[in-house]
Formats: sequence, structure tokens, C-alpha cells
Amino acid sequence: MPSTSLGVESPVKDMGYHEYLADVGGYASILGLMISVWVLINLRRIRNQFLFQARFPALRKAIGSHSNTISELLNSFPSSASDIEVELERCSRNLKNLKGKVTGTTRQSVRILIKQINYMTKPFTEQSKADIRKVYVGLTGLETDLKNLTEDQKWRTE
Amino acid sequence: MSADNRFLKAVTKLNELTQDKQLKWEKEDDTNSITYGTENIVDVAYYAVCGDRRLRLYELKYRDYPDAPWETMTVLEFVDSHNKSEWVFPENPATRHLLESVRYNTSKVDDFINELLDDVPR
Repeated sequence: MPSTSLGVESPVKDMGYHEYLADVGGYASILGLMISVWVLINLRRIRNQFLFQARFPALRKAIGSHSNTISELLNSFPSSASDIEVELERCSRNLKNLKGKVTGTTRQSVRILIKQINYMTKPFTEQSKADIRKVYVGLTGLETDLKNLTEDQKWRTE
Repeated sequence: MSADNRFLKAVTKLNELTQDKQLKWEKEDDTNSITYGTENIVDVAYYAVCGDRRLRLYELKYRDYPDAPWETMTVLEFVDSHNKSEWVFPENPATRHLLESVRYNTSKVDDFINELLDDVPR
């Protein structure tokens, strides 16, 4: 504690010391806030990574299965039209789930596919074949993107 | 468009032509020329002519070393008039789908089901 030569505490020096403490406290608070934000961002990243690791393989498999089934059903179109409709509905649900787990161009591809499926005129007729094929091509491309993403992720976590 | 995407679109186009019965595939059981000198297995191969190119499609069973489990991959390639491989398409999911469509069409599944359903008394 600062004091004069007579042993009496100087209010001027005391004030300076308090200001100094207040400054340090202020800087510490800002630093604390920055650390909290950093921890929050990292926690979010770890959570997303965990979610990605847990759910992504199953979703990737599901997308592959949808494109496979649609391709198979196209062999017997138009008699398989209603089956394709059901498959696309299932596919749309999985795509919506996947959208929150991917970023960048993959997310953009997922968004476009959801839109394409939503805007299809139902029930399907012979004229719908081209639109179904467009979705099928998109799904097959997405399957390849997801495969590459899985490979990239392996390197990120190792 | 990336090279991968171009190959993917080309294979899906072949699939479309196959499903629309515009591209005819021939089944060939003699696959010795494909697996000659290896322990790989190819049960059956399919051939088609698209434009002035001859295509071959098959499922290859292989293993990396003698005790390893068997794995499969679908191969689509250009072949010359002596059935020698000239160039193999990069592997992608659409190649597997194409093989399924070719099997479906060469087995005449539609004809069988139509005949069967027409014959069944209602």
C-alpha cells in the first residue's frame, strides 16, 4: 500500500494505484471475454466435428442409397413413378438434415437439390423423367463430393 | 466443370441411353482376356458400341494380397477391336448404376414381368 514518509497514506498516490488496478481489471476483463469467445468458438467447432463424425457416414450412405434406388427405378419408368416419388421424399428429408452439417459448395449443391425436388410437378408423368434424371445426376455428384469430404476429414482429425 | 464432373455426366448419359434402350449391350461370358495373368475374377462382361467407340463394362473382384478380403469395383473402359483395354473411366458411383441398368436390360426384366403379369389370371 503506498504511503508518505510520515506513515500517512497519500490519497493522490492511492488514487493512481486504484486507477492502475482498474486499468488492469479492464484489460483482464477484455482478455477474459476474448478467451471466452475463443473457447465458445472451439466448443462449437468440436461439437460440429463430433456431430459430423457421428452422423455423416450414415447420411452419406443414405444419399448413395437414394441415387442407387432412383437409378434402378428409372429402368422401369413410368410404372415405377410412384416409387420414385416416395424415394425422392425420403431423399429430401435426408438432404435437409445434411444441409446443416456441410458448408461451402457442398451445402450449395444440397440446397439446389432440395429446391429441385420441391419444385417437381407431381404425380410424375413421362415428361418428369428429365427432371428426375437431373436430380439423380445431382445426387450422384453429391455422393462423390461427400466421399471426398470424408477423406479430407480423416486428415483433419489425424 | 471439373474433369470428375464431366466423367460423371458422361456415365450418367450412357445410363440414360441404356435405360431408354438406345444403347444396346452384348453379354460376354468369356472374360479370360480381362483377368489373364492375375487372380482377379470377372464373371461376365458387357460390350456396346457408342459412336465409333467400343465400350466394355464389368464388375472386377480383386484382392490386394493373397489373404486379404475380396473387394469389388465396377470398370467401364474403351476397348479396341481385339478387346484390349485402351482407357478406363475414373471410378464413380454412376458406373455401378450403369452396370445395374445394363444387367436389368440385358436380362429383359421388363419383358419377363409384363409377360408374367399378363399370363396371371385375375
